[in-house]
Amino acid sequence: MTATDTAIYTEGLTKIYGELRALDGMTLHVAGGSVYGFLGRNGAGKTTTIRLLLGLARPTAGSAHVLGREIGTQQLEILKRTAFVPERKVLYDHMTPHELVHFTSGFYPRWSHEAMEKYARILDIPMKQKFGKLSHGNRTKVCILLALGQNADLLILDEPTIGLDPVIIDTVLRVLLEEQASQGRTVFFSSHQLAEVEQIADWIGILDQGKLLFEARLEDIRSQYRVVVAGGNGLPAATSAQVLSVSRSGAFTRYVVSSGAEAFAAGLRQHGAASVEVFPLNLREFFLEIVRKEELCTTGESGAKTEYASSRS
Amino acid sequence: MYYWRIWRENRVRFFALLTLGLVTCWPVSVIVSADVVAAGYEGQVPPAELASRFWGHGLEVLGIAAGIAVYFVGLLAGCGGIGEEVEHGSAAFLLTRPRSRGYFVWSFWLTGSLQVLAFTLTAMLSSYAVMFYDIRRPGPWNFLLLAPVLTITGLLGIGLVNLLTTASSRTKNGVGGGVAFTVLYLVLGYVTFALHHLRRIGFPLPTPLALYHLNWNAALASTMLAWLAVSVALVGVSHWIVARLEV
Repeated sequence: MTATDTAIYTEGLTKIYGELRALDGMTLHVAGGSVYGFLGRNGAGKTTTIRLLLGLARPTAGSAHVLGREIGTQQLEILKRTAFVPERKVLYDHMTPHELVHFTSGFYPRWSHEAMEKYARILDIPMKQKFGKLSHGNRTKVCILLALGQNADLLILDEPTIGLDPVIIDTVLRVLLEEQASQGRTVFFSSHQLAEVEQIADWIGILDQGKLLFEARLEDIRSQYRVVVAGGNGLPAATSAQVLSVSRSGAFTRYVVSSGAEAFAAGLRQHGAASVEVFPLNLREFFLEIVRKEELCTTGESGAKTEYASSRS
Repeated sequence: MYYWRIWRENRVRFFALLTLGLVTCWPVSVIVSADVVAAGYEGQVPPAELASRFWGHGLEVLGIAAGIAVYFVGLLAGCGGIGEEVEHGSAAFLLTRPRSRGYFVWSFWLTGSLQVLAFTLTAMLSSYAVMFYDIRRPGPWNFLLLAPVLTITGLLGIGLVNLLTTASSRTKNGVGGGVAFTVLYLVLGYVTFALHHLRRIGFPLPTPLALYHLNWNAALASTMLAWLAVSVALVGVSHWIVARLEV
């Protein structure tokens, strides 16, 4: 994959604030036309990444290209083709959504009033009420509307569904999937709502402490990634490249493997594992396996296997 | 569109300032023209001798009064821009529109400058109307010199407050700092002027008050250019800050 056929490409992207390494050499590929869920815990560096991509902050080191253009030097070209929904949905309190549309549309020659009117209707936005008087959910909807109206090639959405009710979340996700991604547009969005990400994303990236821990197609996670829970002592801590994470609790050891789970389980049995079970992973489970720093399980009988089974229920 | 938004946000204040401009110079004009008439100089350019009999050269007094007003117009017009956007939390939205950061800085400055210019012209025209009505020949050329002088004064106000607002990302700091700096600077200017008069120091701190002598000559022209350059430089520094701003 090269910088030209990817919507977003970063290499060694680093951002340091004083003593804090907000981003630590992150290399990221977002394929053109994909819906990319950008996941991470609070403070993982998601918003920092987005700010760097949009020119709101400057990287300490590394490089990034958006739509084939280099951030910093070709920022205006990037902004012409990129729509953005910020994490903090703050616009101008004294303006109505109708006036905000008027204001924003003037920046974009490709602005579609037809699309805007359609989405305003779909999202049920009170267009004549002052922004400052709107509920948090309606403010979010206005921000999304302003992004959708741009007819942008790339939508960068920072927590786009925060504060929305389930019906509107479903509507927003449907619009993103059916009317944006289906037209070849790239959607790059950060979220804590893993169920939402799983609903529309076809790629995910998991960021933690400024490092991209993982990047893959969601379909690959569903079809290939497994958690293997084995009981017994003396099991290997980490064995091969296929093992993404290992955690121990009491007599149980948990492995997240990227492929060949059955063969891996057989290998554990040969190492003397008393019991070995293989489970598929949904995104939430996968995310937790990748990013958690503290073991979920604590002692003896309520070991990893039990905890894992209960977490699935 | 950015101009539209600034206009939308400032239109009430703008018309209020225009009204202020209309009334600010009237009392001064009336007093000055009355002095001129009373001194027997009706129909003539007010002479410098009036300065010793009353409280200064007529135009100078008029100019300084208008200058103080236009300076505060500039302070108000300069309060806002990117610093205010950062304070309010909308900077991330605005700065991701496809325009350079310089566009936002200089567009804001331009709209503020137009407000100052509109105020200046209104104040001058109203004053001229009063003086013309009273004394028939109020010395139009000296009078016209007020236009650039007042405009430069207003631009200094815009540049100073905009810089302080941008640097601190707080509008209160911008206006408060602007007023405090102005008072301090003028006091220092007066002190250094007094010390210079007593031959204690080589030269006084230059202040824009020098503009208000309103005698057209090369020194006034260079002073005007210098203060105009200072006003633009203040905006240039704001631009420099905004270009490096991370939000």
